[in-house]
Amino acid sequence: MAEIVCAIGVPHTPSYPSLVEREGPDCEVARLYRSVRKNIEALQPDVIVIFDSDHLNTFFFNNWPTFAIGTAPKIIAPNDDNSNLPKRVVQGHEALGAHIYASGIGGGFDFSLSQDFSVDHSVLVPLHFLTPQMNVPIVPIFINGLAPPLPAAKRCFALGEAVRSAIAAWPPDARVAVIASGSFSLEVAGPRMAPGKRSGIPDMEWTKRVVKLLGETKITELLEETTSDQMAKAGNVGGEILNWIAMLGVLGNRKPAFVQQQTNEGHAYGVWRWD
Amino acid sequence: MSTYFVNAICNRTVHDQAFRAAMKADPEEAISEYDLTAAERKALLGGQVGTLAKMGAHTFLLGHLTRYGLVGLNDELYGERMRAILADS
Repeated sequence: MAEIVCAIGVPHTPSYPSLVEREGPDCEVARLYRSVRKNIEALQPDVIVIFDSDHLNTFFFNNWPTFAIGTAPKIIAPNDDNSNLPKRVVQGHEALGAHIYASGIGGGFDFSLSQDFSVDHSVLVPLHFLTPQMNVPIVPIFINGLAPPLPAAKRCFALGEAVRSAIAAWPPDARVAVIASGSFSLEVAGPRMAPGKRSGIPDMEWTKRVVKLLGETKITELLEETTSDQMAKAGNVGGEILNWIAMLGVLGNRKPAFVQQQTNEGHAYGVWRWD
Repeated sequence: MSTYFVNAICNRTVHDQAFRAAMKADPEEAISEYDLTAAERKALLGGQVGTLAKMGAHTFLLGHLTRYGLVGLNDELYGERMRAILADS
């Protein structure tokens, strides 16, 4: 049977690939991603399930899913021009995607399904840093984190639990890594941008609070505090925390190997291991 | 269909380079086929992103207008108009 080997949370800031090229391997962003990547390299997953919030590039309001799963064998990425990453084909894991889809529907999670889609920087930037060879196929699970009304935190946690059960019931002997992509506080192009920038961090205190609760495995408190008002206060993409919360549902009460906030940013890097 | 087509126009500038070029060259013509209200059309062509945000357009999508320098916007103007919402509220 399949087994989950690790869970990972990272940001997907589109300027980071070029920032690391510019500033080199000793800069904080490079060091933080590297400390996460070491775990992937050590645990050698066969497939990655990634919780992600599309930035209106894969889907649009003509058909906007709250939860969607992608089962294409070939996925074009990125479909936006926010990062400097060249367009490429990322392998999708059709069989695991189809299994989680069916298992979710059977268990009360009515995913939208896409068998032909592309993804934006929010999937490709984490892969660029974590599996730069792009040799581990992915199953993207999309959670609406950008366009209110957002799904409730408890619902996303339950989604993660359902995904854990689905993976545990998947017959192949595969090693599965779970990634959550996103920030806790971030405003992009909205009124709370920092002066002279196109983005801002409206709620640094919330970021610190989330990192503290993650570090202390106080998941019940985190679910209680991640209200729709709090996510809105955290920025126009503050709902990206829901990807982390779904990942927490996969974890149960497992303690993190580490969770670290990036200096003066509204996001963090975290690793949970099963060994 | 409140602001649906405003959002759609902003989104199309990312994914359709010919449309982006048309928006640069002659925005009035480029959006002429869209079913916008008179207020939406006026605010969009005038780069009044704060007004559009207050109407309900998604701020993340409005940001594409300044990324590509459309409807007379640059980052300074965009920021000024967008931040004005906070003063109004």
